[in-house]
Amino acid sequence: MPKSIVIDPKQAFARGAIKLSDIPVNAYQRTGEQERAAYSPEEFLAIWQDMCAIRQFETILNEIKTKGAFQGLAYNHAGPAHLSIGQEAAAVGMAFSLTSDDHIYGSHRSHGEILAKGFSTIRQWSDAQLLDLMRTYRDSALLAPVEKAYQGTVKGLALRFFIYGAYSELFARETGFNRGLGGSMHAFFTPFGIYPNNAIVGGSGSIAPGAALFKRVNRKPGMVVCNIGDASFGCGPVWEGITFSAMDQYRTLWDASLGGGLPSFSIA
Amino acid sequence: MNNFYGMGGQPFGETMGVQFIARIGAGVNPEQMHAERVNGYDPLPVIDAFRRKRKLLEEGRGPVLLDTITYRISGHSPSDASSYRSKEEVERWLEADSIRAFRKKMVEIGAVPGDVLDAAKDSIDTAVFEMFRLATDLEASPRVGPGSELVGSVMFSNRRIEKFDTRQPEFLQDLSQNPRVQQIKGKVRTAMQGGKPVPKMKMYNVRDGIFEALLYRFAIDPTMAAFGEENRDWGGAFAVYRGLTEALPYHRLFNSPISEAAIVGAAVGYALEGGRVVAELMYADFMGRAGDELFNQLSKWQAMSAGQLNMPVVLRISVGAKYGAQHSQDWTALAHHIPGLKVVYPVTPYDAKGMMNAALAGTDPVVFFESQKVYDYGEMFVEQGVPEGYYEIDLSEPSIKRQGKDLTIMTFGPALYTAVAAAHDLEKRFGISAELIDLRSANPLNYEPLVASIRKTGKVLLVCDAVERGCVMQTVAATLTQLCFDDLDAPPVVLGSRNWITPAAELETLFFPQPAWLLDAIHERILPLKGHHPQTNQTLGELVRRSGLGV
Repeated sequence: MPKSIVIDPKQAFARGAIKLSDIPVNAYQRTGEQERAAYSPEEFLAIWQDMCAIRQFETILNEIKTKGAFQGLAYNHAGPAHLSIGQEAAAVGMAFSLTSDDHIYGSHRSHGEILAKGFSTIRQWSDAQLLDLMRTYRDSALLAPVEKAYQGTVKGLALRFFIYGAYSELFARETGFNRGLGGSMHAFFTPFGIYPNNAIVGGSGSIAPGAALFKRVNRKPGMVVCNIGDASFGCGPVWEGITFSAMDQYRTLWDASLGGGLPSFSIA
Repeated sequence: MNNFYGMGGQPFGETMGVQFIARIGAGVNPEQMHAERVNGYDPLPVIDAFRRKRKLLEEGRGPVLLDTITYRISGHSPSDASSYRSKEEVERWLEADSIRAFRKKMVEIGAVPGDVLDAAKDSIDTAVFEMFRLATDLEASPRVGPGSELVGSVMFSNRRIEKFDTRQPEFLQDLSQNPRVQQIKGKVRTAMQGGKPVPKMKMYNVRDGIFEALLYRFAIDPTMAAFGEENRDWGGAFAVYRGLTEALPYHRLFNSPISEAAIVGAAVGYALEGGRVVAELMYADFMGRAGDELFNQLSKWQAMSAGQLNMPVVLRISVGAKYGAQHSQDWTALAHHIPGLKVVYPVTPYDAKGMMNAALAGTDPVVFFESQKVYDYGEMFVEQGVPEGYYEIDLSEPSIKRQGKDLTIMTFGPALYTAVAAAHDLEKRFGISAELIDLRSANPLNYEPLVASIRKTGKVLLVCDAVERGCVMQTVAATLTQLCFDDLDAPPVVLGSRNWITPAAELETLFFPQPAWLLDAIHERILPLKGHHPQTNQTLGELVRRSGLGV
C-alpha cells in the first residue's frame, strides 16, 4: 500500500525463475578433537548434568503417573504430564548460549526447555543476583522451604529453588512459580527469560512474533525463541506468525536504526 | 522440536507432505528463513546452530527456522499405549539415546572421565528427587485452601500504568501540525447547535473520540504500538486512524498481513513482554479467525501468572452493518462468555473517548467493540459536548442516557438509538416515560444503577443488535430477574436480532430490532399499550414457535 513501493506491470510480467538454494540437513561435522577444544570440561559437565536432571525430573513424573510412586514415595498427580524424555539434548543445546535477555516461548511439552533455560541462567548469574531474586520473588515463598531443606552454595540453592518451583507449579502448590495457576503445560518463570508455554499446539507460534516485535520496537536486547513441534506446522496461526515475522517492511520501510527482521526464531 | 509425532499422527509420511520442516523456510522469503535441519539428539550441533543463528538475528536478518530433530521416547502422555509406533522403532531410538551417546562421546574424546560424569549424575538425580519430595509435602508446599478466592483475585490486574517506559515517545511530526488534529479543532463537539443538527463534515463524531484518546496515549507511553489490517496509509478501514500515518513512525503504526491470529497473538506477545498495544480486527466477524488468540491467550495469561503479568492490550473490533451475513455480526456475546476479558461497546463520542482513555491507561485486555452504524454520530446526550481535555469513564459503569419513570429500556451497542426512537414514540403516543440506560460495558458490569432503575419503574426491556439467542442481554436479564424479582411487574424482556444470517442491506429491517418491535414487545409482554396495533409478532407463543424451529 505505501506509495513508495511501486508495483510495475513490466516487472511483474518479466520472464524468469525463482531460484532456491540448498537447505542444509545435519550439516554439523566436527572431530572429537575440535569438540573437546570448543568447550571446557566444566561446560561438558554442565551439559551432561542438565540433560540428566531433565531426564530424572521427567522420569519421576512418568513413574508417579504410571505406577503411583517413585523410589517408594507414593504420589498421586491428578493433572497432565506431557513428557519429553528423549528430547533433552535439544533443550539443553538450545539453552546453553541463551541469556536471560533471550526469551523462550514453548509448548505443552516444554518441561525440558524450561529446566534447561533455568539451569543455564543460574550458571550465568552471580550469587548476589540469584540471592536477590530468590528473596524477592513472591516474598521468598519459594525460597523458604528450599532454604530449610538445603544448606550449601548459592548456585546449589538456586538450582533446587528452580526445580522445586517447577515441581510445585505442576502440583498446583502455592509454592509454584505462579502459585500453581499455570501448571504443567503452562509453566513459566519470566525472571530467567522463560515465558509462557502453551497448551494449545502451535499457540506460541503467533505470540512469540509479538514478543520479538516488542524487542525491536523498544530496542531491547536479546532474541525470542519459539519452541514448537513439527506437528504444529499444520496450524494456521503458526503460518500467520511466520508471515508476521518475515514482513518485508521491517527492512524496506522501518527506521533502519531498529535493524532488519524481527529477532525471532522458530524451532520445529 | 521435531520429534516426528503429533499426539500419534505423524507429520512425516502421514499428516503432512513437507517431509523436512526446514523446507518451509523456502516458501517464506528469499533468505529461506536461513532454515536448516539440525541433529537435536546431540547437544553440540544445537549449540553450534544457535550461536550461528544468533549472529544472523543480531544482524537484523531474522527470522530463522531451525528444524531440530529429536525423538520422544516417552508417550504423548502417560496414558499413551503407543498404538501408533512399533516397539522396534522406539528401541532403535533408545539405542541411540542422547544421554547415553553423549556420555560415550565425552569419555571417548577425553573431555570428562566417566566416573566424574557418573558422580555428577548421581548427585543431580538426588537433588531432583529431594525437590520432588519437598513439592509433594503438603505442609511445606501447601495448596490454596477451600473457598479461596485467589483465582478470582488475579483474573484482572486492574492496575493503572501511565507508561511502560520512560523514554520520549517517537513521532514524525509536531502534533499541532497534524492534519487530523487541525481538522478536529474546527469541529463542533455536540450533535446539535442552536437547535439545529450540526452538518456531518463539521461534527465531532465517534471516530474522532477514539482518535483523540489514542493520540493522547501515544504521546505518553513510548511503548504503545498499533497494528492491524489497513491501519497505515488507509487510516483504518473506517478512517478512525486517519492522521496517525503522518504522526507515527512505522514501528508504532503498521499494516499487518491479513492474519487475524497473528494480529491478536502478536499483541499478546507484545504485552507479555511489557508493552502497551492496540490491535484491530476489521470486523467482528473475523473473531473466529483469531479464536484461539482471543479466547485462550489474550484472556488467560494474567491469571495463569497468578497476577504477575499484565496484559495491556486494547483489541478494537468493528461491528459491521449493510454487508450481509459475514460482515454484519455483533459477536460481543462470544467475548463476554470468556473469563478474563473486559468487554465494552460505547456508541457515543463522549463514551468512546472516555472509555478508550480508561482502556489505554489500564493493564487488562479490553475488547473494544465499535459500531459502523454510529462512527459518524455526534454527541446527543452530553449537553456540553465532548470535552477537549482528558477524562476517563469507569469501564464497569452503565450510563443513564435519558431519565424516565414508567419503564426502563437497557441497550448494549447501537440499539441505543433504536431505543431513543422507541422512547420518543412511547412518550408521544402513550404518555409513557421511558428511562434509557446504555450498558456500555458487558464485563465488568455494575448492576447497582440497573437495579435502582427497575426499583423505580418495575419494568425492563433489554435490546441489542446481536442475535437474540445467547446474547449479552440474556445474561443481564437473567441476573436482573434474580436481583429485582420482587420489584418487577413483568419479567425482563430481551429483544435482539433474529437468529438468522444477517441479510442484505435492503433487508436489514427484517433482522435488526426496529423501534416498532420494541413497542410491540412492550405491548405483548410488559404493559399493554392502549390502542396499539402490533406490526410484528412479539408474543410468547411466537417465542416458543421460533425456539422450537431453532431460528
